[in-house]
Amino acid sequence: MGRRQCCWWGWVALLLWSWLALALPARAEVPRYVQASLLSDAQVVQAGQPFWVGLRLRITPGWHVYWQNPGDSGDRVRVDWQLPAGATAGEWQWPYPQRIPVGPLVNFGYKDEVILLAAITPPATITPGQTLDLRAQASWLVCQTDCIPEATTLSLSLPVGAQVVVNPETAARFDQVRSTHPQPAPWPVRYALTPETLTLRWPERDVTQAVFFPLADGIITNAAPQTLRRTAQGAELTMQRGYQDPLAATTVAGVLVLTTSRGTQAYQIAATPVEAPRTGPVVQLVALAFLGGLLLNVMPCVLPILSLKTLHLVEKVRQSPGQVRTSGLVYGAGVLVSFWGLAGGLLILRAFGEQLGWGFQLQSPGMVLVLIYVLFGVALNLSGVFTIGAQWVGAGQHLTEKPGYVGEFFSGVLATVAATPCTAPFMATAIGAALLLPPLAALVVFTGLGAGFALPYVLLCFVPAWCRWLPRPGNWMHTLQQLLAFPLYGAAAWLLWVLTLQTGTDGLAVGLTGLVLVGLAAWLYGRAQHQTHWRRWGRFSALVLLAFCLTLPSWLPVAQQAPTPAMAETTWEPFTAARLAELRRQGQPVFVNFTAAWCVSCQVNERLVFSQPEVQQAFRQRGIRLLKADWTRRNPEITRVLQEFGRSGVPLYVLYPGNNRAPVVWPSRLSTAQVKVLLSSQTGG
Amino acid sequence: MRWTWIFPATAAVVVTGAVATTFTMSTQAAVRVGQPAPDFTAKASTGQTIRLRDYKGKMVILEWTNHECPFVKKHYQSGNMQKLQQEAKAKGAVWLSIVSSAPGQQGFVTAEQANAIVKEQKASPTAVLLDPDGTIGRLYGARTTPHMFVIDKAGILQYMGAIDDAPGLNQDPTKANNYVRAAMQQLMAGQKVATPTTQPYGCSVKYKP
Repeated sequence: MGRRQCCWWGWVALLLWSWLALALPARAEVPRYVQASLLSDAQVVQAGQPFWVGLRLRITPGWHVYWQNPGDSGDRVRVDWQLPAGATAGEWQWPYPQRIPVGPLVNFGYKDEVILLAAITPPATITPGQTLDLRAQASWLVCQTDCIPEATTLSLSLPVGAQVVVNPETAARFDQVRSTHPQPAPWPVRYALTPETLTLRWPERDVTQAVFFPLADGIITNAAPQTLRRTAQGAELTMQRGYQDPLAATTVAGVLVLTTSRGTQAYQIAATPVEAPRTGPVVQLVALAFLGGLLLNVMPCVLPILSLKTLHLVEKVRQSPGQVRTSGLVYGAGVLVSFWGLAGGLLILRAFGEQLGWGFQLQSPGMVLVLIYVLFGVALNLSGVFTIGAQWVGAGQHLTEKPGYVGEFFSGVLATVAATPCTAPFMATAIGAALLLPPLAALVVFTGLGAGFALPYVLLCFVPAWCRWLPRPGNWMHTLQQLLAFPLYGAAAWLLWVLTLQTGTDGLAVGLTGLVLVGLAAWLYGRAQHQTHWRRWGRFSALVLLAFCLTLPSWLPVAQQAPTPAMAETTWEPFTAARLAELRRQGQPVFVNFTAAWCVSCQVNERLVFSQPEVQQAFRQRGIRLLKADWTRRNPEITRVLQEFGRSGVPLYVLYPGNNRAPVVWPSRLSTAQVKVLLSSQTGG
Repeated sequence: MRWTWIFPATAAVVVTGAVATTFTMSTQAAVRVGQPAPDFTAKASTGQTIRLRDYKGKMVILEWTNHECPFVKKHYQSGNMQKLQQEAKAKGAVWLSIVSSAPGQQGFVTAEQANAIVKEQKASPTAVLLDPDGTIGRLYGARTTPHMFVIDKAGILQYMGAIDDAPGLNQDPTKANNYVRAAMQQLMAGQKVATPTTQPYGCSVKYKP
């Protein structure tokens, strides 16, 4: 370019500039901080055929415009269409916004660039050769710290043809924009309230980041941090509540933006209040829990301890009824405290995102091992190898001199610990619900459970008349006591089997070593009680041995991943969520058996019902695929499905009848006849 | 009994733990309608010290303001805010205009500037409160200018939110449905406030960053 030309251009520029300067006052409405334009994904439009138009706002760096709900201040982008007669415009589609802090406030909006999309349907009467003229009056507030209201009129003229001609570049850009549009959430979102917080819960667990943008003001305190937590059931986001008070029973609507390993996706949600799943009010749950607790008394793992206690009652009630009452209450307190302890533990574990259930202790080999030692130790005690008796399970002699309240308290604790393996059907539901309830309500439910459990014994202590029905004390009591040791040996043996399933023969070796050592410790302790010169050394070495036993759980091999023998049976396929989904997609009926080696009622059903040829035949005839979900070890996938059914324990039997009909939950106690009836009523034939 | 402390102690630990997990996020509570309005002490532009609780027995209106904010200007230039202040005064109510803009931010004023603005605008607040460190603003969760609060004679917060239902800068505030006026009238008549909360609109309060 020559020198002369350069000067010439300079003059033109100067001229243009002065012309613009003159023209400016007349065009005061020209936005300064935002450039707005209309884009269309159709180069040529067709009568009656909808196409997409985008309002593109290019925003000066550092400034922002606002989303539908602007947050703490500001105002949304507003657009008024002026369309030719017969043309219609759909709702504006807003990409999900970002949180924009302004001092201590937080706004919801967009920086740099945003495109809002709307579908336009041209009039059906328009003919090729005409043009479609779109006009829109757009206004917005653009802010950095201070805000400038801006507005402009935009127009777009598109030729009408016999067919739509797509503008591929814009269409591709719009597709990008659509990936930032909130999709309907594929799962239900629930919310829970405390006086200060609002927590959203959803079942998607693989979330590294979550932000919630409410549609309405005052639902949350916009500027307060939002805390993401993964839970056993999925994930939850806790926010500080806003000024809106009557939230209960209404939905919380907004956009939930989740970042997962697959990227970031926004979901449109309308969260409903958390309810006790399929149960109703807490009162009903507490009643259910109370009944479950009552039922626990007659469970085989509790009855030995309880009947032992009623034996002592006979002795004690003659001595002093007042003392019996007090010790009854202390026993009740022991039960309650341990139920609270369990509830607290459950809640804390839940907080840490552990996979859990009522039998959750039994999924951890370390816990199983400790439980084996405790049961074995108590059994040895009953057998008379040693007597801590008076204070522990209450072997009675010293009770006349010493009230033994501590003993009462801990026998309450022990009864509770022993009850855990017996997941009575009642309790499973109550606890399943409690896990989904807010912590305080969960505590109340556990209290109900404990009260039901403790009541019979406490009542006996208070109504001496009923004690008269108790058998008379005699020598047979010692026989009975020694006899009662055997169910406990049995329980320990059974747990050892569970441990073997979990950790293999190496784990079994560790367990057996521990048993021998516990036996030795018990014997030493017993000698120390009977012979004075043994006392110091006996007790000391017993303590050392027990301490060593406590380190044994860390010796256990890491849980095996190989399938357990029960899983290897041919008729049952191992359960995975993917397999279930696949079978259901194919329209096949599926029966899922949620079970565990340590679950007694599961094993009973398995042996007496499911393995019966006639039952197998009934399943085969109807083409039902059988899946076994083995929960002997932790399995988050199975835990999640159990939670979906409001359960936290096994057994659970679910029939998916095929053709995508809703699943049916079967009773936990089954018989072969019942299975056949259920099958014919639910699948026909 | 040597061991009796175990029961109460265990119970206490468990209950405390559970309650603590419930309230892990208990930061400062949001101000709510129907609750007592939090008390504050502030310096007025006239030099007085103003205490909210001294006005018990009178209806109190709090107005967050920033004279440079276009939304505030809209209400003062149209005479809408002044009219509302006079009506409040006639009802025996106390009107406190509060400036929470921090020094160097839009709308920050010294005491003299505040008095000059009141004069120039022919405004009639009971007092203009200077809140440059944003203490009162944050206490009430004031977000915008204007952001309005109406407190009844018993000191209970009865309304919070926008001044009216015309958030657009080009909308005429004198023709809008004024929520503050409605709240004042309803409270005077001994009724419940029909619309106790709305989303405030306007400029953000220019707090100390």
